Amino acid sequence: MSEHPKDRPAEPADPFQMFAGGVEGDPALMLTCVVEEYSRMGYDAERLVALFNDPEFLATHGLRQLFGPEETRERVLAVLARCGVLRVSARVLPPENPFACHGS
Amino acid sequence: MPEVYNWQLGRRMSYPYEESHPDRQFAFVFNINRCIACQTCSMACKSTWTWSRGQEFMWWNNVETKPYGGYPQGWDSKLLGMLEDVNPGKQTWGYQDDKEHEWPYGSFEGMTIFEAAERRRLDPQSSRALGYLPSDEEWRAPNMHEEVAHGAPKQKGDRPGSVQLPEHRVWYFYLQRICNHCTYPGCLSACPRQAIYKRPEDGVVLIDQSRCRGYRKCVEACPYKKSMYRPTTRTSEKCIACYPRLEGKDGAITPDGQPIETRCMSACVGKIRMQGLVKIDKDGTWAKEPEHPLYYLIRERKVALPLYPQFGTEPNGYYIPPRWVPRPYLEQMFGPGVKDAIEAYSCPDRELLAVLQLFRATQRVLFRFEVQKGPKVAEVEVTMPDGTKKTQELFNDTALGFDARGTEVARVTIEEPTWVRGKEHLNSI
Repeated sequence: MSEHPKDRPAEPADPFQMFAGGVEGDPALMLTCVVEEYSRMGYDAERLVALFNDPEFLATHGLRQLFGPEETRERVLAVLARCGVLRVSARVLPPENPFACHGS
Repeated sequence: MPEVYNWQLGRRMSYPYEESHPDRQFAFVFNINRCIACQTCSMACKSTWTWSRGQEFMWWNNVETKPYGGYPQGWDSKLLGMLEDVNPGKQTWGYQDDKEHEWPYGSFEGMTIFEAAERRRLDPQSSRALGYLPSDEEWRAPNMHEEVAHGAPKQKGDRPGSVQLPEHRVWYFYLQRICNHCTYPGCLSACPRQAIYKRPEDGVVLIDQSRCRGYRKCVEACPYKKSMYRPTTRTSEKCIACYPRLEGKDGAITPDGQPIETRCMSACVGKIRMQGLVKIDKDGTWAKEPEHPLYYLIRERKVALPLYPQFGTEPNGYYIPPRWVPRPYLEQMFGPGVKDAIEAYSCPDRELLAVLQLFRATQRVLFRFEVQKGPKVAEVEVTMPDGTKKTQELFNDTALGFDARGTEVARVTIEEPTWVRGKEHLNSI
């Protein structure tokens, strides 16, 4: 029986092979920065934890997988205890709503 | 080749055409720190412009994962490698100590894609810019092997023959990309039909579909790979900066005819995007507009930086670099301004913090901002790039945004932050 194509050795120029190299980075710093950023956007602890819990958001969920749910929550709370949750009030002048009726 | 002035490189450079500049230039700032790759921008663009036959693999807006991914795959590392081959060991930046107003990042001492093409003396038609034509496979699978390769064990239900992929270390960032509507576009320089042009009113780069014959020289020459070939029409297509919206011609949204943001910008739920039309002087440099939010972020405070400025096209897309990423990687991507940009952004002063609140505050394109100062409301601790902490002061300031007519269209007020009581203080009342 002939060799199955999937078992053939990968060629360097194969576009379906991952070829990018790793770069050293710090996931803990990433988590801290992401939490700070979203606290500046008004995200409180519950909304932030939900962001980490949601598997659709692979970056934040990947961090949760790395640190575990409990530690992730603790890290989120620790950052928020330090920097708080920024609040803003916004007023946007009409016309803004695309579905608004602009007739007289 | 004629010589043109590229302010991002701090020097003159070769370009196939003489200098000619628009009155205003479409430009944008993306704040990488806040993107979680929800891909709403990608879908907003695709469902508006590239949903037809022959456009299946065409993403004018895409969000890719760095350092692992790219669309088309490896677009940047391939071109960086080609430039390194032409000019080995010399793709470097000069001293930043010489920074002047029109020389914000120092001087680039290496070769741009235009200069590298001259050095290589390629075939005349394709010699105007160093580049390559990605294969169909490289376009076909955006985001493949990016952040999903967690190396999970084989589970019931996996397809037969599925393989264990290498596991990424969990740190990365998302890079949002659209056409940069460059000042010196590689695509425009390479088109043998002169089908590509830059609009004099807003600097938007377009492909005239009636002139294009699908030679794909633009696809080859665009260093950012944002010109794409459509096999059904046998022409190339690219991002058009949603120019009907930019012209204020979408009556359902702006009955008063004022410019509004593109689909990708206005769909951004993470509020990472800000778009504008900046005034350009006759010599191609940005006219001084300190009250323009983009001028303020890019030229005044230098917190937003061009993507791969060393390619030499003077891209008009700017990025606030991610705070958690190792510096050498970011410097290769955004040039030597990275350190200052991250320092300024990590602990923004009151004016910068106020301007940052205007991101996605309105769909209108903002032409001017104003900050009304209020009392100090809090002090918070923020994390600096080296991991140390710094105290940031918060003020009850209000940022005002004005449209092209000078009418106030957005008003955002910073208020006292709320605090999450620490575990040790839960029962302290």
